[in-house]
Amino acid sequence: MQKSQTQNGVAGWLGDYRSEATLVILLCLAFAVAPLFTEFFLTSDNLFNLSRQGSYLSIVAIGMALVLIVGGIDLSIGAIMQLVGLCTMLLLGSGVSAGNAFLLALLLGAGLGVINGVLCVYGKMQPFIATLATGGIMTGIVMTYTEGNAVAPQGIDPLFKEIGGGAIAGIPIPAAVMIVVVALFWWVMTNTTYGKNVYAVGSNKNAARNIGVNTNLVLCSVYVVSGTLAALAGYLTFARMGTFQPATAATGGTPVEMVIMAIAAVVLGGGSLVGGKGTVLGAFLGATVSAVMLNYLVLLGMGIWFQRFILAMIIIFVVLLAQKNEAA
Amino acid sequence: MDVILNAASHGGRARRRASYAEFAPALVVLALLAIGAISSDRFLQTNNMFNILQYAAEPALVAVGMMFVILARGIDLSVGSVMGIGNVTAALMMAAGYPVIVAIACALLFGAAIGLVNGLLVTKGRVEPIIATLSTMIGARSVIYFMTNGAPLFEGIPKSFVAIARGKVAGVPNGVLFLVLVFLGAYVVLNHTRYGRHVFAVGGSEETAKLFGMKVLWIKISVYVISGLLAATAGVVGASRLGIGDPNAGIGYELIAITMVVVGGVRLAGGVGSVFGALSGVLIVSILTNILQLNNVSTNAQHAFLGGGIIGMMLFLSWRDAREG
Amino acid sequence: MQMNALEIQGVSKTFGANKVLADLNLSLRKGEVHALMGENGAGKSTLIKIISGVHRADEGVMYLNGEKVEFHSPYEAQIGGVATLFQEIQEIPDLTVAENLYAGMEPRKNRFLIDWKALYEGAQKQIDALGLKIDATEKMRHLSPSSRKMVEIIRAVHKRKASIVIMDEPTANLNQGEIDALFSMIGELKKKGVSIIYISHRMREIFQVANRVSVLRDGRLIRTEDIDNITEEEIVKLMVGRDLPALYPQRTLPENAVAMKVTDLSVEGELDKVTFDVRRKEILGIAGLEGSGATSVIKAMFGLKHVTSGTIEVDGDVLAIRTPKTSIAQGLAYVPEDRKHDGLFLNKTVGFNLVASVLKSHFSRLGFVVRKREAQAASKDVIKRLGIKTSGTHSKIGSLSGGNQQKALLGRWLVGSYRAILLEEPTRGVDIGAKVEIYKEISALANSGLPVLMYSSEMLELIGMCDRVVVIRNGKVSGILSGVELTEEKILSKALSN
Repeated sequence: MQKSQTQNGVAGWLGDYRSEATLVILLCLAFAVAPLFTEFFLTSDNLFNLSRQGSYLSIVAIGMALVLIVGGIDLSIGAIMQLVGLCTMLLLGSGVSAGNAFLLALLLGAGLGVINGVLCVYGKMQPFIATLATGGIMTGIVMTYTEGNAVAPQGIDPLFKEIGGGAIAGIPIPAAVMIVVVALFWWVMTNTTYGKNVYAVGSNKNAARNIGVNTNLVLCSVYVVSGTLAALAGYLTFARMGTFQPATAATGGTPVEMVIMAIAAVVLGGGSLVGGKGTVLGAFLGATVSAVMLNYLVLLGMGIWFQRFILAMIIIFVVLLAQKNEAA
Repeated sequence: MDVILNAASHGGRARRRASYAEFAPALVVLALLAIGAISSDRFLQTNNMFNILQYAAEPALVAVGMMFVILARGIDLSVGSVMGIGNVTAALMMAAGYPVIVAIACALLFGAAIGLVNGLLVTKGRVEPIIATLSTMIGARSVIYFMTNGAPLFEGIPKSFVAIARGKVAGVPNGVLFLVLVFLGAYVVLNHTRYGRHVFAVGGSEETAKLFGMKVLWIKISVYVISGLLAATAGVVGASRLGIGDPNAGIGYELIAITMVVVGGVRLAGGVGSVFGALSGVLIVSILTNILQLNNVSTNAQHAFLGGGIIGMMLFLSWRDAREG
Repeated sequence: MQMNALEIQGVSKTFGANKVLADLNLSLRKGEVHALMGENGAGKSTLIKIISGVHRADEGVMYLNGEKVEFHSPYEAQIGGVATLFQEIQEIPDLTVAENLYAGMEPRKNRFLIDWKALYEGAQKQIDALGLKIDATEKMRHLSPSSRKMVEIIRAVHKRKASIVIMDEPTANLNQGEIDALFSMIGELKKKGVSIIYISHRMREIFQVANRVSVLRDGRLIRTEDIDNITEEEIVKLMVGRDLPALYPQRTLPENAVAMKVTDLSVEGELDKVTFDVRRKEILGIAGLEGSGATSVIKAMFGLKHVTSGTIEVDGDVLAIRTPKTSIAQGLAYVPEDRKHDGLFLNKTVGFNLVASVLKSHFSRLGFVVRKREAQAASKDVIKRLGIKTSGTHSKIGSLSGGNQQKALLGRWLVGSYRAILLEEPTRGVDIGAKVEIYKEISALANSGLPVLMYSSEMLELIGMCDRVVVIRNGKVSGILSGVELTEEKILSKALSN
């Protein structure tokens, strides 16, 4: 009797982290078989680049995870990255230090998140439409200002490029930032009352209200988190480039693509669009798997569209698998 | 007894307000027409009016398909990619020497097939519509690039095909006719057939629809097929209008279509909406774009105006819903 | 001997470890109204779900008009001639009344187009024939609950040619005029030879409308009897299967000191200057028919309604009624009537559900870092104290039985200290065993010195548990009953309008 109970416990625990476990296995497999196909994958240069490339997606995916957990969606994160990137560049160009620009960037992201949250919660708009519209406005502002051209002011704080391209103890700075963000939000979501409240609201909004959770505030807050993290990712992305390049289909990817990748990462990690489900760890692993896979396919000489095709197949496969497990 | 009487009179009030609110999108169209007329003297010319409607044809085809899906409580993010599929399939087939009619038929079938995949994923696979159609959106776009290697097709497109979108009947551009036809068709199907009413019912309450003996599974699959078919049609029309096969055709159209439908008062949660409203939604977006163009607002800045317009409209609609209770 | 309309033999059904129906036999004569009685959890709803094709029996056979049948879906059952009115209204809220009436069977002009004229005229004719004042072109959403129920009844009964109609609490939302209309419909159906299975908790209705009555208890048929050969008391006794005192705990007398005082509580259109007080160690019941406003009293006190006037005093302190958050902070604990919709986090664990309300106040450092181990220990204590059957704090609460879920909903407030307990339908949809334990716990809460306020739609429960009962009618207090006055008849006479 005692034994069967502990088995239940272990199975139950694994059940909770089934998506995460699947992704970890996928990652291990990827690393194990990589040398058979390409000698370049396990080189330190590639892993260095890979960890930096993957960090932007991981950061925004965590914001998206929180939004999806409460049953919302944030389609504006790509546009926030763009707008924040542009503003950062303009600030730096006018002589603001990289550190101050960083703080202002995060503040701007948080402010944009507040707008999203207020529209969704107090304006009672559907998150899908509200964030689609705010994203459209932000993209419009960026494109109008830049007319689609790069913004590359001279004489900006050299620390800025160092943040984007440099490393701490062999780890690229964006990846180090990502680790901090993942650890912080993993802790917040599992160990704080705020995290529990987010899950409570996502699981049953009425019940959350009835146990004294300020549901409107919680709903609003996840958009602020999402906006702030998108701003962080935007800052790091353009710090790597050192210039601001507006995203268009011609320059490889629109602001919408980041949204799609972020949603895909959360869903891969066990999240769901109906809310109440998903973890920070899952979102991080989902983003990492996506990044590793794309890197892998690039090394194999596959074109970007083949990579995306594979990504689409993986999403469907993992989601169908999760459905099956749920039903079982 | 008092309680019941109150409820009845409240119902009456709510109904009057609802019918007034149903015309809100149409009122916005009228307001935009007035603004357009004031802001530019070219606006009200017949040519410009035809222009607006002609360019509205492609998004309208996509939006009508989207309306079917949203009414049945789904969403279809793959329409932009399916538009591209329709576009390049037709162009490639014609370049390979197939007759125009066969090329079009294949393009439409391809679109419908992707719709079928969406429908099956959502129903049989129980994948959430956003995720399922997001995946087919990415997947279908990849297929387009496999088919074309990312290069536009300029060769081998016959004049008779180009004439489809560029031709005129009695002075009216064909594009305008497409717009009228697709909305007329949608009106008849959604308002005057059992199938159409059952689409509303499934979107309103799937469980009840099942209990009422409606073929819920078939209805849910079919709306995605309709959406795929119409999106591919839009792609074919686009190829015809420009006379080229464009692998980038349709990028971003899913959002335009959703915007049009939702601005037209179709509820994103399903079960509520009217063809008349969706038509208004299409016109709102098209006229607004036209006004901005006539006033030399850059394409980029139009995004911002559109976004602002959506927020204003949606805040009004949600305020209305809140008041209606 | 005439053939029976429905013959059920040896039906059993098990959910998980719970045997809900055990070897049950039931026969339904042609043209009779057969009342099905039983406590919540006796197996009534499972039985009708099996007859109507929602569930399938594990064992047993079913004969419809002499033919063996097996339904795989509610729709199949409808086609086969079984129409069911579930407690929840089956409707498409954004379609019109007429469309709901004809849903799936819309008349058509030709093979494709709907004949709207025939549809609306036909629907209006049926509604008018029953003397109801419902506009067929109105959207369902805009009707009162009672009108919606009537539309559903017309649909289920008239649209399909049903040989059996099952009605589960059909009068719950109806006013007297509509109840009369329903009963005349039932009379007509009987004349046509249609048989009706009628479930209601309102004893008076049973004696008014039924020909025979069957009592179920713990998934078994206890007795079937002609209505003329049985009394109300006998039915209750058969339903409960034990004497009432065993069901309800022995109560100690409340003290005289007033612990909670509610004055002039008003909610626009629902409550009008409701005033009462609760003494220390007292359980005060709130009763009232559907639509009376009785369900709004506790919600208003807890901050879930827009309160236009009124005060709550607890131990002499005046509470500010704003939001649930502020109410809890001021010491009110609340169990909502709909545990799935308003109470539990169904996809979360038992532990999460038990301590979610007190994490911040009891199990946190600095007000936001959760002390997981202590929280875990506390939830284990509650599980033990209430005897919640679960494999551990990590089980999903959605996988527990209704009774255990309801215990957890109450158990949430056993951690931490409160100044008053507000309960709505504390035993809705739970079996007798769980009821006894929940009653015991409520009683213990009161005995510990707390004022307990309890709304219930089950009068027996109010009579068994409460020291006094406040009856609400038309949003006003129509009487406060206690002692020998606390009977079903008295409550009903206070609850019904004159």
